[in-house]
Amino acid sequence: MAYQLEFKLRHEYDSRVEGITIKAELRLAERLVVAEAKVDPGAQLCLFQRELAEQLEIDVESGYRIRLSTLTGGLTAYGHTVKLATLGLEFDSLVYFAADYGLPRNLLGREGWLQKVRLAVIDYDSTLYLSPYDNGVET
Amino acid sequence: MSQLTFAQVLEAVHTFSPAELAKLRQLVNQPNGKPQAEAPTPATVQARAADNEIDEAEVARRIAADQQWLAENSDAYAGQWVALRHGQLINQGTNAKEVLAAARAKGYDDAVPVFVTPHRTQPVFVEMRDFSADNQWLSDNRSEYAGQWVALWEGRLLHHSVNAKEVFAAADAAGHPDALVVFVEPLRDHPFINIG
Repeated sequence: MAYQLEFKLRHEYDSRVEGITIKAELRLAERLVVAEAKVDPGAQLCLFQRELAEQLEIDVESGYRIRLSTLTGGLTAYGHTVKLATLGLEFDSLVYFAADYGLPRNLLGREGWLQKVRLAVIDYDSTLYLSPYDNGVET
Repeated sequence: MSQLTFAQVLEAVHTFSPAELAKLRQLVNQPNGKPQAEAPTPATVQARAADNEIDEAEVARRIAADQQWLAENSDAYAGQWVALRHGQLINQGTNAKEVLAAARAKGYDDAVPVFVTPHRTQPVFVEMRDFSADNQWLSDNRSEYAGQWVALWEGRLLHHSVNAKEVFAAADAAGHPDALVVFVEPLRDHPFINIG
């Protein structure tokens, strides 16, 4: 039995970079940051560098405080609602910012990103296919 | 290097200054010759205790309640900052600092500030600029700028520094608040795998 999916967006990512890395725009009120983030379906949520939050003028510690487990131990992060755009698709998302400075990479995980989209990866072609979860888009 | 005999070591110890002797005593008293972990400061102890006290289920309930409030009230409060606590509006205002200060003045230290935008049930398509020139720059220069923050615009380096704030400020000053700002990870000797 064959299955067919349809996607609204197609993106060729840079295969020279470690991991699947795409650009992510975060907006809050009038502020904007453009960063790189790794597509990480293994991550439970979206995690960004504290430095980005500060550029968005977010009081990091005023967000929802959580503890995350990582390979090297744990880290504390704070959740804030921002507009998150990737590959031209923007939605309101609760994303988390590390409490500490120096997080080496940003992660696009399940909550806040993957659960809002349909995603296909053809890594051999360095290609991502993306659509809103139910293919609906506001104009 | 020649091996010292025990007698030579003892002889050398007798010539040590008081400071050197204290250092040696410290070294000898360490288990397995490894330095003992530094005693945590009261602030660290407090922070660790607070981390252990995080009730994940409670945080999830708070988030769900606040999201519910936003779904029901976003259109009425669009363009404003609100302080929410367990799905209740504590106060509203024109900036995050103001609403947080007001919430804390009322005793609600755990209120969360949210900038309210019109409620969306669907995502929207937005125009994002072409990053291929920035990608090329990163590919060409990654090793040279490893460990630094860089601001890029159309394949041009606007600024680089180990200080992110300085890089963001330079991008803003150059008239490119939408510059790509990236912390350039050092190249690894081995492939990365995340099993955390």
